[in-house]
Amino acid sequence: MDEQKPQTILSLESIRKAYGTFQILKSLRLEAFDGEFLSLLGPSGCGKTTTLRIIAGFERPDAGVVILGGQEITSLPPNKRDVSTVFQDYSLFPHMTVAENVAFGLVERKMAKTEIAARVAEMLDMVRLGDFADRKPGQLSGGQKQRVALARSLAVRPRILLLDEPLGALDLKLRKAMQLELRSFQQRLGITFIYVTHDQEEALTMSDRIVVMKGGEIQQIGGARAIYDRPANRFVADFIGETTLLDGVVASADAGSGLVQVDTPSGPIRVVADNRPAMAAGQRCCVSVRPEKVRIGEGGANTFDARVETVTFRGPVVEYALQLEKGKMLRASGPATASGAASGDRIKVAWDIADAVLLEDV
Amino acid sequence: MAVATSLGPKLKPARARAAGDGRLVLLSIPILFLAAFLVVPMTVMIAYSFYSQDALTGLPIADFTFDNYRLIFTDPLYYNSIFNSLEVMVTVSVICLLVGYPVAYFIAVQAPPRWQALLLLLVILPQWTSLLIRSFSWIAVLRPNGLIDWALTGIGITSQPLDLLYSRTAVIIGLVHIYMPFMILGVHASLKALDLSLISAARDLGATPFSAFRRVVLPLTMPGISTGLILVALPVLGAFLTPRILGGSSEVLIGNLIEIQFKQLANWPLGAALGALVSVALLIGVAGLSFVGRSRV
Repeated sequence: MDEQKPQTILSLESIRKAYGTFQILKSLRLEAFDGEFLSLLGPSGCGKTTTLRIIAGFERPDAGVVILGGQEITSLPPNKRDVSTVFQDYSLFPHMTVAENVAFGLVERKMAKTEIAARVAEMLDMVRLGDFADRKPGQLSGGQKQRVALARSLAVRPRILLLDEPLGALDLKLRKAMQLELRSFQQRLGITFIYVTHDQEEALTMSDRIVVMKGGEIQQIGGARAIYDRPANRFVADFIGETTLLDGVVASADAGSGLVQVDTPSGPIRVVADNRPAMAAGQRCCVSVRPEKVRIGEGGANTFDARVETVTFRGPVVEYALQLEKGKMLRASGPATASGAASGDRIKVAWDIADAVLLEDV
Repeated sequence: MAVATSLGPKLKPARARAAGDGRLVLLSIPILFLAAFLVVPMTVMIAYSFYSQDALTGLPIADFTFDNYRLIFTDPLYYNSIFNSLEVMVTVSVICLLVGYPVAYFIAVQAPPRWQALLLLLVILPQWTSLLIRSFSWIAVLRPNGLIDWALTGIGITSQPLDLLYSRTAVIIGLVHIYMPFMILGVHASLKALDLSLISAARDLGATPFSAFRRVVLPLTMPGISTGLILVALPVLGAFLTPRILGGSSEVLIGNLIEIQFKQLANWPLGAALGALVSVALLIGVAGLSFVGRSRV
């Protein structure tokens, strides 16, 4: 949306890393822009934490380079890098007070005492822990520890703040509050945040851009909406949000309009294949349909017969599990007030040509 | 439910009493142990230290005198040996700490986990040999033309035999060898309890490896250091076997004097006074060290 070209602050070039024979990162290429909130999202073992540790300097890549602000830092130790990390389990120094924890990095930088005191007070104010300066970490709650860790890392004014699943240990309500808080700190300070998480909702809520990873490779990079609406492949479609994947074979493809007809066991589906590599007739593929795009009733380019299996009330929405004829279970959801379909009903379901996404079967 | 809740308060005092009784039984075991093996012997020893010795028979006379203590603080033989002993204790403790800490650090932090048990076993292994044998073995190493002389003249560093045996150096070498495992085990225990991600956090915030050690690892392992120092310093101050074997007549420590008073001169009151002084010194030292160990965390 921003017209001016974003400035690259960090780039990873062809990073490879193996633990023994297990290749955790396979030629990873990644850029982070100045002042953005970038999330690395993927299931455990996808290499997201390793990527973060390579940026922080705790791991040395087997091959490839790390460039921070135009300077190659691949082999610099962690203390020489202008980045700091918020660790998963906070890693606060138990023998130091909250204020001493926040001052730790400033003392290492040999700042004047008065300056340190001022910066510590400013940081503790920001995370609203001004009254806790003299407490020890053992006397704090999980959320408070989290905020001390954040203040400690931000106190040194890093160019990039790395966050390794920092909200994992908090309960849901606190996590939601911290998500918004993190986002607001990031926007206020204008520091690049690189955030590792396996929680797709967390990534969708906070990020400017999301890097979806799997098996040591990047699957897709993009904004939350782009990744949700236009997943690059089957994995991304399935991993981000809810979806039904309908397998089929390309019956016909019109190169001009991009209109593709896919034969599935339940019947033909018409879908628009936007700027993807053109698919040829006979090619195996799958169609991803989000539950909220499925309408109950007739009147779409794709209309199917279905039997309602279950209806689940979720508060604002109702979720349906629909058995398509000779095919898969289709998931649908809609406003709780909209439809009166009950379990066992035979109904019609429909969605528009533009409401589904055609994906290669890989 | 109603019955259970109405019974609850009535049952509670009885249960609490039962639990209290159980605790008392449990507590009485260490109390009896301490009374029998610490308080009673210490009291007897301190009482003896105020007795005098019959000039003719050499038997203790139960009167009350400060003569024994006066002798210790006025006769250079006694007060010098106390100073020597304190010097040896401090030297051995410091060497054990400086050498033992890195060894413990390596075993606890850097060695691959599956090697750690084996490495610890190797540290403890020498303890399976008798103290006497370990002390005597050093004679073969330290004596003129012994192993060290042979090696040093062999590679041409020295031409004259070093006069190592029967010196303070020999005593210190022997005591360091014998008590090092206690230091390593004490420090190892506190290093195992250390969250290693704290080192990463310190490095991440700009600390050099040394600074991370000084500001994070060292303060958090103070309890282990003080445990190690207590475990080394205590027995070193009372040691008499190793000093006698390796120090000969040139290095008489307080432990040797106590031994001589009791076994050769049969002057129990003087021996008791020396023993009481050592005990008091140790109690003060232990209290100080455990205070340091506790206050840091």
